[in-house]
Amino acid sequence: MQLEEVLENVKTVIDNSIGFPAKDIELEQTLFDELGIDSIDLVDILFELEHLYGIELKISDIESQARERLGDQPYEIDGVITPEGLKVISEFMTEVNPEKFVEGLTVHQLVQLFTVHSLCKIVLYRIDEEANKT
Amino acid sequence: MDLKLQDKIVLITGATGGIGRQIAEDFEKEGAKVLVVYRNLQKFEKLTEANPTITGYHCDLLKTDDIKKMIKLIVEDHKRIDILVNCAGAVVEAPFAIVDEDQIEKMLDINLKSVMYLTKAILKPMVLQKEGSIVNVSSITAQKGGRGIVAYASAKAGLDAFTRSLAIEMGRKNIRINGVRPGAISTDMSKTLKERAENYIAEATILGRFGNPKEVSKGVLFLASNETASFITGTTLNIDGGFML
Repeated sequence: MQLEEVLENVKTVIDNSIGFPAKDIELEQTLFDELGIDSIDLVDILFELEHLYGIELKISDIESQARERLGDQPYEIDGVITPEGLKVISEFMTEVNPEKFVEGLTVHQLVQLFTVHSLCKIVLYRIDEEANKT
Repeated sequence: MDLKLQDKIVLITGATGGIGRQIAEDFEKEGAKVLVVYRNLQKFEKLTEANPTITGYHCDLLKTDDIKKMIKLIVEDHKRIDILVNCAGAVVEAPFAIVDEDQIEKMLDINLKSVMYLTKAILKPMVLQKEGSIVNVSSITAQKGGRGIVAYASAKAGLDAFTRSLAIEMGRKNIRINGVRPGAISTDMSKTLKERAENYIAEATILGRFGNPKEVSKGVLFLASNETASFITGTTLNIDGGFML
């Protein structure tokens, strides 16, 4: 599955959910600050995408991959992402400006950095996972 | 008054018990399609002897994978789920200081955790269909407390908080979440209570008697219906004959 195809569906789903015109949605826009999505909007955006692709999406998928790569090293301590965690998560989230991964960033704040591209990557990751299962 | 529940798809837990059975039968009478979740086949068969059009789904409500499979199957079979009534519950009476830890866990599992698991799974179809109504059957003990039922009352108080908080989250998605708090109701579950404290309860209840399952069911159907309760969410209604006054 190609990024472009997922992107078109993500745009449509966001448009249907919050009324932000699909034609004005760009890959690099942040979900929360720039598109004005909130966590409850995200619920039906994820459900619509799950329904569309027949998969189960988890917004924590990217973090799970980072935790796995870190092995025994901690990803976060008391909700604050460790320096090692920041390094690994920035490698997974190349779509986000690296300067945003500052010391003291919390797990909660990380979600605020998610872009349209991040959402597409989560969808693509799950599609691949499902394909590998079968 | 027409509650406009005809052809609504209603999923009910605890429908083999006194209050749950009444709720299932009353939804049937209103023309809804009633689906019940059961664990005990014998009890379910007893329910369907008198109500042959009720459809059953066997599921352990503490197993999240089984719940997901059941919800998927229901949506395949019926296309949507309009109403969920969480009525499954259980109580074990014993002084808290000597109750077994596994009994505490069981009270929290049956009366609170299983409700959360099932409700979480059902939110997906409700969000996708852009509509839904959920009614949680709590207990007056959530407010009043009670001797010998510390863990049960705590779980029901948690259920009330769950009703309020989830209503806040899901209101914008056109999903209403409400509850009822039955007081002393004549059922098998309250048999020992009745034997032990009938006089006290009759005295403490403003209406001077035990309630019956039908009186609880009326409240559940009222809250579930978009015709009667379209602007009500996050509320838990006392159906207790004035016990809490």
